[in-house]
Amino acid sequence: MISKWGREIVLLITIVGLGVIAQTVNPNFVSFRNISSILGNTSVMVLVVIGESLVIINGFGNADLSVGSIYTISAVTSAQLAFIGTPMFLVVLWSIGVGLALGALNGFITAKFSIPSLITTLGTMIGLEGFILWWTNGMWIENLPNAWQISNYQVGGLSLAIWIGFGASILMIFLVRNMPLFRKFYACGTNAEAAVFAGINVNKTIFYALLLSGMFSGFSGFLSASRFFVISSNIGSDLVLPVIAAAIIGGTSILGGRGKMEGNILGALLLTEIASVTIFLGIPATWSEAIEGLIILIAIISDVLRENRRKRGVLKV
Amino acid sequence: MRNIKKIEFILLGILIIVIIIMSFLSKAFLNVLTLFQILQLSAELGIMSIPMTLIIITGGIDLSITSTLALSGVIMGYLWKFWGVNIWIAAILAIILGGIAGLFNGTLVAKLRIPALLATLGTWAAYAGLAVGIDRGKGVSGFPQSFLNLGEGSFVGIPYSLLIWAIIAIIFYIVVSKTSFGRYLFAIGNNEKGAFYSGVPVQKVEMTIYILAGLLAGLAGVIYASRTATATSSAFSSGALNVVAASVLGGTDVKGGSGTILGTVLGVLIIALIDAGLTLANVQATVQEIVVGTILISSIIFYEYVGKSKVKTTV
Repeated sequence: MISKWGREIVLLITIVGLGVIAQTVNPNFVSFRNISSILGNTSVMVLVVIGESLVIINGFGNADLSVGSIYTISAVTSAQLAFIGTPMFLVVLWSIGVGLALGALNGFITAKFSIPSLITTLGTMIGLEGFILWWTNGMWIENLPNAWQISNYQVGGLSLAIWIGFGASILMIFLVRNMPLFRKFYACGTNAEAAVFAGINVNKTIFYALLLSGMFSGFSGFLSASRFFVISSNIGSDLVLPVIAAAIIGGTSILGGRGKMEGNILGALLLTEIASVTIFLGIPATWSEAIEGLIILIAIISDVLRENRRKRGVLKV
Repeated sequence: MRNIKKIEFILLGILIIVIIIMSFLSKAFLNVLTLFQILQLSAELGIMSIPMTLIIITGGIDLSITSTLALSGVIMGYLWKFWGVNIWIAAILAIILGGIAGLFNGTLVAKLRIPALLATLGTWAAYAGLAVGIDRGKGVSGFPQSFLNLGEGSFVGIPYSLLIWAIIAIIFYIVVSKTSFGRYLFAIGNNEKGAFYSGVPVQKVEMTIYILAGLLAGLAGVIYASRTATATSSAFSSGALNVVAASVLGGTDVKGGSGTILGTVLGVLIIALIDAGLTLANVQATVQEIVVGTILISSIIFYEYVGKSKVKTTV
């Protein structure tokens, strides 16, 4: 039991412990307002973390670096659609559609030309970032209709974004555990050659992983943007590193084949909590990037060291 | 393995076509002085793309190289302004610091066997954060004229920064094509385990190239600060991928095992001229970013396609 859920237990203890430390320094930390703010910030990134994790599980050299750009494109274009008076259900469909289309582009290039998805999405990321700047000219989108802010709609004391983000994540826990498609992701990540001999189309699985990652990024972009009345064109520009960090902290192995959705949710929660804690502890904002970088670095190093210990000798040259 | 000679000819052709098109777009283009000014803007890109090529040949990548540039520049400015260190000593210390950043990357990749892309993605964030923290978004300027000369001055009409780039390119051209160290790079890129069992000092070679990348990024940071007269944490932040793109466009295989310095130099020249031409033609700066992304992806796809359809030849 402990070994199976070890990481999740450690994450939970860390999340609670960090909260206790922050509370002793600043008694305003544990308040309904702040906790629902942390949950809200988690809910708009947790699905992206799950999508990212599914790509990384597909094996060494796989990750989706374009999640932030897809997130932004979806957020900005959805807001523009809402601005011209499009019905909200169409706007939601649009955000999912944009994500699917861009995810399919990533998947197509990766699968068709057998390029590591890290490289593909590195290219699409910079191309899409340029597109966003060109499309918006760096301008903010303002004067959105009242119907736009559906994420802030209160249900049982919590915002709709929290219900949707965490609800969909919990659904993903069951889907990943039970659907054959997701079993194939793990198979490819553990041993791609064996997966091929077992009749799994490796190119197809990475295509689906990138497709899902794109879809989640697109939808989360909308979910995040619909909390605000002013949408800036860099809403997702700093998203990719925290997302990868959350996935790795949550137990997704960067070498592929390992990762639990429960861990990803907790990883996302821990990362947003850390961002909140740095504010409550009064650490200057200029150092927040360095702290984030350090966390990511530690997550990556500790993950590889753990994997090396697990399959000692295999990785040694 | 790629037919590198052929790729270099194709690149040379593309370069000439780019020059012809650009000279139609703007009358100022086909002027030696303008050309030098344009290339001067790309000296840092050129200097960094050379160690990047060595790293990609071994199957690695260094995404932290532009953060290292920014961090070195910021440290130099800080030492000079707040500690009163002589600017040239500060510059040398900044280059050494770049080397230490590279040493750290090398330790992660060569010793701890962390995939290069992820290791340097992490250090990229860490170094950039460190630069922002030290710099506090303010930037240091007001350097003495003797230091500014490094980025602005020229020797018999050729800017110093271009001379430095040319010297480094020539040295590494010889290292890659004529020395056993160069052979080791290709051996590691093609088959790391095989290279190890054939007696190639894999860890030492990998360590060396990451340290080199750090040192040269430090040097590029110093030149950048001198050229723009400011040391800031936002230095070169827009060009992070240009370095990889230049190298890949130059025929370096992202999967490792092939690439040349000459190809990379041609790749840098093409990207530099396209960038400058678009600026001269009054195209928005944001479109240039799209162009670089498209160049990166399409050249990978192109080389992948050529590599698959044609009979493979050795370097």
